[in-house]
Amino acid sequence: MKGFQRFIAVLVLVLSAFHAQSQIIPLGYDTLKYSHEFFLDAGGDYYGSSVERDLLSKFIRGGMITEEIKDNSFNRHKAINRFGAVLGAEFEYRNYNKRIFKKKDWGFVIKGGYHLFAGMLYSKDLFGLAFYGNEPYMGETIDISGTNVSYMNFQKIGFGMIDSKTKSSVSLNVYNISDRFSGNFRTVKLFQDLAGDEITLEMDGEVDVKNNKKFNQGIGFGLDLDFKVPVSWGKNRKAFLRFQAQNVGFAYMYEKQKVYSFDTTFTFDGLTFNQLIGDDSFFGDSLNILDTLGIRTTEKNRTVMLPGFLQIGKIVDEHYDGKVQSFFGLRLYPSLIYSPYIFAGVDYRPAKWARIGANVAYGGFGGFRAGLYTNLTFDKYSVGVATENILGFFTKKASGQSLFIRLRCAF
Amino acid sequence: MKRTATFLILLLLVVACKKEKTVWENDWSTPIINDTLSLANLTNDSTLIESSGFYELDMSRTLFDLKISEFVSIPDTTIQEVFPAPVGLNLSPGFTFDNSTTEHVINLDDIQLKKIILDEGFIDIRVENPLATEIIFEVLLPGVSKDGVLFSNQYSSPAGTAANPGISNQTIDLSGYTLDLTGVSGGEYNVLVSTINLIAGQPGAFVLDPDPMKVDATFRGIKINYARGYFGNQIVSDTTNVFLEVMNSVQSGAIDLPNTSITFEIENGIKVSAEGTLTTVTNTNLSGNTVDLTGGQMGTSFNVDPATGTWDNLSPSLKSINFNSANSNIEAYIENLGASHDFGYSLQLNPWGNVSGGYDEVFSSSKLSVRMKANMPLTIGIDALVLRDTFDIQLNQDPEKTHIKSGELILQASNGFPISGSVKLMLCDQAGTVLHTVIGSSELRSSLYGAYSAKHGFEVEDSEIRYLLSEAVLNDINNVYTIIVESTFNSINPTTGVNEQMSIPFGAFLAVKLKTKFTSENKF
Repeated sequence: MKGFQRFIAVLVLVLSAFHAQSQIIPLGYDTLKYSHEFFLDAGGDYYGSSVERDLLSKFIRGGMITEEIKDNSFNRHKAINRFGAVLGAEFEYRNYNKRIFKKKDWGFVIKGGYHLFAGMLYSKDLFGLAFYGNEPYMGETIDISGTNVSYMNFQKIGFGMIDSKTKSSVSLNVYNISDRFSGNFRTVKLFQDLAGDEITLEMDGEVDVKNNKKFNQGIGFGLDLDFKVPVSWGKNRKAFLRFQAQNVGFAYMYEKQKVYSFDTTFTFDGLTFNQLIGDDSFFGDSLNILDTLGIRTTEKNRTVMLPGFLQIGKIVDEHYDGKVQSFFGLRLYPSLIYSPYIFAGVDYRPAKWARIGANVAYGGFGGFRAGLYTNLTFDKYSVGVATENILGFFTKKASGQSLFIRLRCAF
Repeated sequence: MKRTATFLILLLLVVACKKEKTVWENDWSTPIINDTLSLANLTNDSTLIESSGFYELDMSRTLFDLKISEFVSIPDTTIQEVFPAPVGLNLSPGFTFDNSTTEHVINLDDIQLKKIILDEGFIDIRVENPLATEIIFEVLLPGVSKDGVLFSNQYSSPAGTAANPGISNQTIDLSGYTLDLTGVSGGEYNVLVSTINLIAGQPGAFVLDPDPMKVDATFRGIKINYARGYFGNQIVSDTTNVFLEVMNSVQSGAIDLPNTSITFEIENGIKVSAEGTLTTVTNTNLSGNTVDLTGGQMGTSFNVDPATGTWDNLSPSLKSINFNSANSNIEAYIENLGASHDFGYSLQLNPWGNVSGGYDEVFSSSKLSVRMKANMPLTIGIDALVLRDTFDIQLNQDPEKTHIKSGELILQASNGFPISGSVKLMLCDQAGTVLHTVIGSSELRSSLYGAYSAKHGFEVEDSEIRYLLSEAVLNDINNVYTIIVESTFNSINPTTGVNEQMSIPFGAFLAVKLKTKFTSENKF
């Protein structure tokens, strides 16, 4: 019980212990000609459909999670809930002078980065079990069936080509998978009678974890795609749609992963004295708690999908003469944990060197969110900071926090 | 504008700095023990029997059990016989050139055996032949027979020289044979008669300077199935210790048993008279207090008659020595609650000599045993009887990590015994110093306070006892190395409020469910 609780708590901790990755800051798309262009994106976003920031912030800043804090989040939970986070930092260098494949418009791209994806689909009872324990559920069934957990920590380096005119690019990346965890709890029900005399645990599912502490657990190959397509937008106006794929590919875990599988029903109503202190002691040398619970352990190499995403949307056009323009889009992760994420916003350019914007979004790991960003340009340098969850900075009722940073140098 | 933007950027960058641990509490509940104790759990033999719906205590034990070999045994014995060699004879095959009938005396001290039947036994014969011709030894045992046939057999010994005699080793299996040990005259004892004829096996030359022929006969592995004779004036004495482990937990207090008695029963399956004495019966309890059983026939000799009958109708004699409240301190002896009991005895066979005319008999089924018999209703009066046991334990929890902050153990019991009890836990450090004492919220109530259960046929009372494990206790849990569980029992009559003797209903049980509720403080 304690181990399970720790697992849930650690998961929540991991999901909430990092900061940001820039994904949604509207790319100030221009078709200006440069020789070189550097990007440094860093940041992250953690949020959920039900957990309030007041609780999540305790995992970041520390402090006591009071009953009130727990109650506030618990009461927001529905039968099915999501929580997750993405974290990453990535640099990218674009060289428009060196031509590859003898095509005069194709420069090259070199990139590298660190990414972390963690997500969890869970029931209200799982939250209750982790934060209240089983005591409040006497006489009830704790149902955490359908819980799905996914976590991957990986690094990448990539090389590709970029069209210097449209700045569309494609790169092939190689990935090192340094950590991975997945859990699929198809059925997990904990029955308790009202008197607390008997506990029945019904389980069906499996969990994969790494089996050693090596930094290199697997190798992956994937693609980053970035295509900008001009489209007509109103009268005599042009807009750009951006089709983006990032970290789309597969990885092979050449280090064997430990797989715990279980399809069992275990009833416990207490030990007999003989089991406790007799010749058949439950705590004898031969005790194997996993065997007792009917959990099978195997080691397997796994081929897994990278937690990449696809995004399509209208982006901000740097050449637009007006002060206000819109942007919107749709993002998809190949995971049940992450629901389709749609966003839309308005970009305002108060000065030539500055842009600010606001957006609303729905989906992903949570529900509705509002974002805010600013991007400042100083000669060949620009810096942008954004959040996809502005409420996360101002109210404890928010469902997460988000912070993105982007530095750019183009010359 | 630029300054404002820069400020906002810096503000956003510093918002997330973790300063202290994340802490929350949650509450857990789980069963730990679910079991039913009955008196059947406490005894692995037939100590407890039913009598009129109540338990009766049958403390019968066999203190010692002497068998035939304890009284009559024949040690391994070697007898040597020397035959002078023929001088100047020309031996022709089949010629018997020497014969000898010899009485072999077996040394058995003052035991005088006239007849024995062997379960098992052997005679190893070794013959040294210095003659230059094969010799045949014909062995006749006139007093040794099996199924009415006397033992007779021939063995050959190869030719040899004086320097290198021919050696022959033979083994005679005596299993199942009857041995008449009365000698040639029929009036002796411990005497085995043998006749050996020496026969030339091949033509032999004259022997001018012969060496004698030697025959060694070794009796070994003799196991007697039946013996008759005079078994001597043997004295067998010993002290037997019986340790009752359960009594070693009794710390203090007293029990009050009903009028009871102990009978020592001597069964003699040997046809020999004996005189016995119970030299000591004593017990010592955990506190070191020793009580000797006194009175009755303690230390006084008593006669044991011989058994009667024969093989198929042997009837052992029985001698009973009774210690009761009227003739001894038996109640004080038992109520001392001793764990270690010593029983000393002495038995002398044939105290008046060979009065049977050498007709003592012992059979394979014969034994001389002493049993203690004590049957009493399990009617016990208990007054603050304290049982104490100590368990080693080593728990470790880090208060800076997830740990149990507080909790309680909940003991739910259904008691079918007319005995109430309370249990306290003493948590001790490595030096044995009590750090905390955890006392239950109430006591385990006697069944006499409960309602009659038609299912069980006696009263059953339910109790719930809570043991609070406070933060102070759990903060010290890493320093706890032993837990002393001390239970205090009483047999209170609910009507009078006084401890009285209570009969234990047959099938009485104590159903126990131990559950825990605790609050864990989770820290990350």
